[in-house]
Parts: sequence; structure tokens; C-alpha cells
Amino acid sequence: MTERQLIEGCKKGDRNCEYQLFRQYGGTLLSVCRRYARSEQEAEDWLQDGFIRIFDKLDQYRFEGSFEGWMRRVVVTTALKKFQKKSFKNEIAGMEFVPDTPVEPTVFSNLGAETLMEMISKLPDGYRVVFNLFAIEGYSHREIAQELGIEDSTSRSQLTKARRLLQQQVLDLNKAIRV
Amino acid sequence: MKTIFKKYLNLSTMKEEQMDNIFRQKLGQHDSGTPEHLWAGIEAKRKKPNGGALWMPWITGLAIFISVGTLVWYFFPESTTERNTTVELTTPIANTESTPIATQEVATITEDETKQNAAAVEQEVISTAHKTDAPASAEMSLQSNEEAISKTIISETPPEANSGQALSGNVVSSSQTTTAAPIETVEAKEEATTSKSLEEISRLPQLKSELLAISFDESQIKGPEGCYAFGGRERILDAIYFDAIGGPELAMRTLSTRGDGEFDFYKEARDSTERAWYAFGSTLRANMRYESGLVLRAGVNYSQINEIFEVRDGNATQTIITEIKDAQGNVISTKEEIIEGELYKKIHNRLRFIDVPVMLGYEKTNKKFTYAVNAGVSFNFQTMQKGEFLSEQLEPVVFTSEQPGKYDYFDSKIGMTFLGSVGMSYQMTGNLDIHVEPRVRYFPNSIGDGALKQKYLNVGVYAGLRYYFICKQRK
Repeated sequence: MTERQLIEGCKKGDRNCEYQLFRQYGGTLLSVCRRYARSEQEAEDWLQDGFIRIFDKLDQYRFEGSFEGWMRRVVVTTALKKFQKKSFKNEIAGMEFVPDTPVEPTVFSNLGAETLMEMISKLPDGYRVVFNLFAIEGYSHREIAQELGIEDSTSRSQLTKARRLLQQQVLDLNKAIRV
Repeated sequence: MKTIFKKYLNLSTMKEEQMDNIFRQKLGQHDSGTPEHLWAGIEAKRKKPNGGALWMPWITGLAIFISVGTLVWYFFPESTTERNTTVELTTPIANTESTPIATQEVATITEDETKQNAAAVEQEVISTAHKTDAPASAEMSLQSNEEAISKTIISETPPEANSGQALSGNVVSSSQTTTAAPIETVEAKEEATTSKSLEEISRLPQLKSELLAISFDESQIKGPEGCYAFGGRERILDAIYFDAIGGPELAMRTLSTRGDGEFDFYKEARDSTERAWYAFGSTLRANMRYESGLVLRAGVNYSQINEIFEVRDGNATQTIITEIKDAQGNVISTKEEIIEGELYKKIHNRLRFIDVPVMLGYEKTNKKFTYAVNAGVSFNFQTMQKGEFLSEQLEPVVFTSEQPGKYDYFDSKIGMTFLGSVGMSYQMTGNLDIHVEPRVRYFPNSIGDGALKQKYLNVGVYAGLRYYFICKQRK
């Protein structure tokens, strides 16, 4: 069954097609949710809500552009909606000074995906969301600002701090390994 | 020195991009494995009906039904009566015994026919039974017309005789059919009746006028002037009227935390930066009042709550990011500059609600004044918001329902609210009253689903006009 047939089937409410779609993209979209969520449980909840939203909004997909990209965007929007209702308490004192700790980028390439995922999950909520949106999803600062209801400059600032904290984590990891 | 700085910035930007690329490559297409166990949950959630969506059509339907019903009852009350009498006309005499009162309407409908045949009354068989047997008389009249009986036989049944007996006698005398009664009895009755007949003939014009008088006593069919009795319904409508009212309200807001004190800081921040400004509302509703004084009200309500968001931050910082470009105009890096200062913002927030109120009231009229107490519920059809407040990060954020997903803190539907009011109206003209209604409205549900519950208690006074389409008691 081609992707188009699968989508057409889902649009008609064919349960088998919906299940096939879930099996095909569930793993990738779960990774997306894990990058934004604070816990595995939360990520699974968001994935469920994301798929419900995908099925509900499938009629809006006009076969223009990547279908997977469209689904990712729906899931990310779902996650952001949940996010805005959660607390960003950790970042109330989020103007803390984060030292510039230059780390060669190649160090990150030596780390596995799960390790990188874990490092991202340790970032404060705001930093994590902005880093995910900018670095991985490819959103611009203007788009991020619109999605989150913040200023462009806040987005830039949080991205910078997210990068520094990730570098700091690599240094901490390195120290832990040496010890 | 300049060159060294430029090289450093280039290097820094490249490193950042390189770092982002590594994350994108490693995580962009990362697959955590299909979580098969979640599929059942997705199916279950999709099947679960949305509570609001489930009852909303019913409530809207109820409101429309009441409104349309009111209009239909107002514009077509007489056609309802005709429909009832048609049924009676098709009922055989023998079956009318159990509905002696209702069949008075038969005589009314046969007015024209009776008039047409008035000249031939002397040739008809007429039973002058007690008034409760008037339908039998009318029916007999019709039958005799059809059969063109030439002989006039007038039989009179004593008033104390029950209607069943009267009808039975009539049938025997008109159709000449045999009954279970002995022949002697029938003959004796006929003899006695015949002996009286000549005497009664002289009273015929008077009987005719009595019959017509019974037939056209409209008060037996309709209620008093200006009121419509709707086909024997148990609860007779006393009045149908519309209200167009509106006025100011005071919206008292309550913020409470959902967690166990975790968001107290946020509640304090919101309370200290937002305050009530003004609120108002207006209602257009249809009312049906019964004779018992009970009133059913349904309509549409628009209300608006306005608040002021005011924030002053003496330790605010402004980050200025300057793009550094090379000779070709390409952005090679950015420079951040943080300026400390005071931030002051004053924004007018607006919450708007469209509801369908359904209320039950009790009214008492005293001369030109009408007093009422009402209670009911209001079903929210749509809620819209626009403004600014502190987010849970304690940063000013814009929220607006005009751009879905802008800041999805408030709900688009808030469910049910409770209403209570007392009303007083004064009759200015025959159909027009001036009306005043102090009211209270409580929002049991939070209008947002963030970290805080945001509820309202609105107190206001509505005033406006009341127009009566029908009212039994008004002059």
C-alpha cells in the first residue's frame, strides 16, 4: 500500500489504515515527543493526543509537501499546546549566568542518540523547547516567538543558553568518565 | 585585532551550526520504536465523546424548540382548534357519549350548514335533551338532513336523565331501528311523545334560537378576550412576551491554584498585575408564562468582562541582538547587548461570552407592576479572549482567540454557568413594559486550564423593554 493510499484510507476512517499509519510513524513521532516532554509517560500521552489530532485534521492535508513533515508539525504543535499549560517554574530564576564553555562540536558526534536525547531532556523547559524547535525542527526565531508567545530576542537568548548548558553537560560527562 | 575578532566570531558561529547539525542528524529521524501498547489508548480516546459537544446540540435544540414553539403557538392558535373539531365530526354518535362537553364544538363548526337548513327545521328530527346532549342534537340534525325525513318528531328527555339514555332514545327515534326494549314501552313512549309534539311545535323557534345560542357561545371555546386556550392543555398559557435587556455588571474574579501550593507564586503574580475594569451584558429572550405564574425563559446572552493588565518591572532587562555582517553583507555572527531598565505595560484585556440561558421563573402581577424571581443555567456557546498577562514563566505574553494556538490558556467553551435574578416590570402601554432585573451569574468552571483556576461571580443590573405578544390579563 502506497503512502497516498494509506492517507486516503485514513481520510475515509478505515481503521486498518489508521493502524498501519501508527505503526509506520509511531516510533519517529514518539522520539519527537520525547525530546519535548519531561518524562516517558508524558511523551506517550502527547503521542496519543498527537495521533488523534492527525486523524482529525487529515482532511486538511492536500498532498503538498512531505507527509511526515506535516505529521511532525502537528505533533509538535500538540506538544507545545500542552507545554504552555505546564509550569516553567524552573526558569523563573532563569537569568542565571551560564559560563561560556567552548567544546568542540565533534565531541557531540561521538555520543549516541539516546545520550543526546537524555542531555536535551535535562535542559530547563524553555531552553529545551527553543533548542528543539530551532536546532532540530528548523524553525526560525520569528516562528518560535509566534508559537510560544515570546519575543524573538528571548528565543535567541534561550537558544544560546541551551547550547551552553549542553556543552557544560558534555564537560561534566567527561569529568565523570575520567573519575 | 579586527581580523582576529572576525575569525573568532566566524569560528563560534560555525561551531554552533555544526553542533546543531549533529543534533539534527542524530535525532531528526530517530526512531524510538513503535509503542504498540498505545494504540488501544488512541482508539479509546477517539471513541470517547466530548462532553460539551454531546449536550450542546441538545441544549441548542431545546432553545430553538422553545422559541419556534412560542412563535407557532402565537401565529397558529386557531388552526389547532379546527384540527380538534374535525376529529369530533368524524366520531359516530354512539361514541360521543364519553365526550359530551367537547362535542359542543361540533355545533359551532356546523354553523353554516345549520343556517342553510334553518328553513327546514320544522321537517327535522330534533332531540331537546339536556344541554349536555347538544352534540347529539346537532348530529341528529345532520342525519335528518341527509335522510330528508318529512315528519317532525320532537322528543324531550328529562334533564336528570343521563346522556347515554338520551342518545339511545334519539337513535331509536331517528333511525327507526329496533332495540332490546319491549314493544309496549316503545309504543308508549312514542304515544306520549306524539301527544306532546303539537305542543312543542309552537316552541320550535325558541328551541332553534337556544340551539344556536349554545352553538355560538365562543367563551366555551376560547378563553376570555385576548387569551388563547390551547386545545385543553392542562397548563394554559397566560402570556407570551419577549425581553430585550442589558446593563452593567461587576465581575469578581477568583484565582486558585490547582496544585498543592506549587503555583502560589504565579497566583500572586497574576493577582498583583491584573484588576477588574468593567463588565456588561445583554440578553434577548422569549418567555412563556402559564396561568400558575410559572415562566419559562430562553434566549441568547452576550456578555463581556474587561480587565486591566498592568506590569511594572524595575529590574527588567532588554536584550539587543546585533547582527554582524561581513563585507558581502552575510551575517557572520550576532552580538548580544543587555540593557537594564524599567518596564511598564498597561493592557486592556477582554473576555467575551455568548451563551444560551434557560431559566424558570415565577411571576406575580399587581396592577401595572409584575414581580418575578428566576433561576436557571446558561450554556456557553462560545468564549473569546484577547489581551496580555503573565505566563507561568512570569513573562508578559499575548493571548488571543483570534489566532488559534497563539497562547492557548483559555478555553473556547466554558460549559455551564448558573443564573439567578429578580425582576420588576411596569406596564407603560398595552403591550409594552419597562423592565429591571438585578442578576447574579456564577461560573462553576474555570475559564482556563492552566496552572490556575480562573472563576467569576458576576453581579449586575439589566434593564430594558418587555413586549407582550399575548397576555390574557392585560387591557
